[in-house]
Amino acid sequence: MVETQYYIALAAILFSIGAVGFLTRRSAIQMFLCVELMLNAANLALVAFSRAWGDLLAQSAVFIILTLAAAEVAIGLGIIVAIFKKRPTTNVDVLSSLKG
Amino acid sequence: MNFVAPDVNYYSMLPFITVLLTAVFATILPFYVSRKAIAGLSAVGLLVALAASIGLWNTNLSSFYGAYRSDNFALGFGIVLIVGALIAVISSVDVAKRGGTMQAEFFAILLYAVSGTMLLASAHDLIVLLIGFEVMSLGVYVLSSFQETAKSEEAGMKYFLLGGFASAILIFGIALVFGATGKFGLEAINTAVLSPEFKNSSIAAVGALFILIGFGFKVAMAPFHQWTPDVYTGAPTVVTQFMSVAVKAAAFAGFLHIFGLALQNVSGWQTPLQFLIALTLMIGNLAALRQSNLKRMLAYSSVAHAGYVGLAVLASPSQGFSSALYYLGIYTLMNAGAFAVLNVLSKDDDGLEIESLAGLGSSKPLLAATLTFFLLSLAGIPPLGGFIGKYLIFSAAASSGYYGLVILAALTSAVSLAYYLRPIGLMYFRPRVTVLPDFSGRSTRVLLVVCAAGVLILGLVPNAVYGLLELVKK
Repeated sequence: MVETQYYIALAAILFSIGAVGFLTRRSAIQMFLCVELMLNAANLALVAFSRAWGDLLAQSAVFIILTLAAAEVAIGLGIIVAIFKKRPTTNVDVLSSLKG
Repeated sequence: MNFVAPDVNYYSMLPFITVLLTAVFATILPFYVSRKAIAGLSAVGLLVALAASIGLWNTNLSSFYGAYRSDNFALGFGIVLIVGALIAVISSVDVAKRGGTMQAEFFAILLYAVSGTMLLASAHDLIVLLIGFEVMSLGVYVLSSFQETAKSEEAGMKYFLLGGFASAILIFGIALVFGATGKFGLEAINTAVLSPEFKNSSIAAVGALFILIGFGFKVAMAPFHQWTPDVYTGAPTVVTQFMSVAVKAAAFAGFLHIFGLALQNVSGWQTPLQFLIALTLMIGNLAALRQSNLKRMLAYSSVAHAGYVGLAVLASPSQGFSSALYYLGIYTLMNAGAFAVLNVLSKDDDGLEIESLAGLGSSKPLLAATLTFFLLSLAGIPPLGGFIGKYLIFSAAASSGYYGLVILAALTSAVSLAYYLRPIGLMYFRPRVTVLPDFSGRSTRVLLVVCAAGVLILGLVPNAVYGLLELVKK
């Protein structure tokens, strides 16, 4: 049986990859996928903690978070498609008219 | 195997269900009736929810084994949120007059977002709270990119990406807090933290920091405020009005609940929060000083106000909860009122230059007088409500020993006088240069007078309402 801390370490690594990716990538789709990676890192941590506590509550919470993530995908991709179909790239740096 | 029926008390969720049902009707009915009828339906639904909230006052009902509670805290915040949404619905009627289109979906999405904010204020469980948080956020992402202008689209994209990033951080924080305590219920987490065999305090502290960052984004605390001026400027004015009051109030309700009820005995988040508040107060107020656009100035001013309310999160829950609610109630009236004036005076959703307000005092006396009222109250001039709100929050923070921050808040509040008084000086002591349009209908003018009266009454007789809010204390 694998100890809980290894799962948490993996979750932390995935979360960091997502966070660093979000801050360095400039394509809207890639940034969005990085957010999804961070969400799944949180899900992995919840499942591991759920087993460590012997409590299935957190596993059901993971289903709720998956649903929320799906809703976020639906809305996010909707916004991305609506915005970038008028523009040549999905680079977020083209959206920089608001300043000050 | 025994089947245990879940503990569902629909009566306790009456305001929430009313808003949700109205949202469902507002989704379906635009196929059959006019946009104006949907606006009316939304207003009626919100008024019924308001009546239900007042009717449930002091009943302390709960549902889902205490995960959803209609205590006075939730109902008080619910009333503030419904009032904020009502002001947005009434203001949206004027948008059509200036040629902008607020399609009927606007009301459906607005009402879904309101139901999320109410869930967030009533939740006593981290997962329920998270659902409310996400329903609110997803609705507002769509609303802020609602108009097909480059600025509105940019606002929606920025808000969505940064908001999603903040939600992911918040969810990871929730996972860590669960890992440390094994509980999702807010009181249960506190009990687990206080129990003698609690040994995961470092995990809980890291989780608390992640949750702090997630909420810091949503309430626009520096250094996580960068999206705020851009999104508030780019989004349609009515949406900015809603975001700056209802979304902020609901996020603070969740913020206060998590840190006041669940994590108050976890160490490690108090010092970072103090830094965030100090930075927010300075950046918000100083950046507002050098804005030439009224909409962007109000955006930075709402960052600064997040700093003031943040003081209530630091204060002990017994004082912090009621003072934050009182402040956010007044803030909803005065800030939404200021945005309503901005909305009827500007020809599009780009806001207007502060210079162009010159001479408004003689050409449009009602709009100028109410805007003066709201700006003076935002600045915290007695006897208006903003002063009492600030006083309550400052005294709550001071009695918990945060004297340095209170002094800083008072100083930055004095700085804020400069940018709140400048439009007033222009309106009354300068001749008119530009002719501003006036799209205010009768409903908006009544709304402005009611908001101004509310700000004045909450300032003159604070005990009448604050006495009720004492019941919010746990």
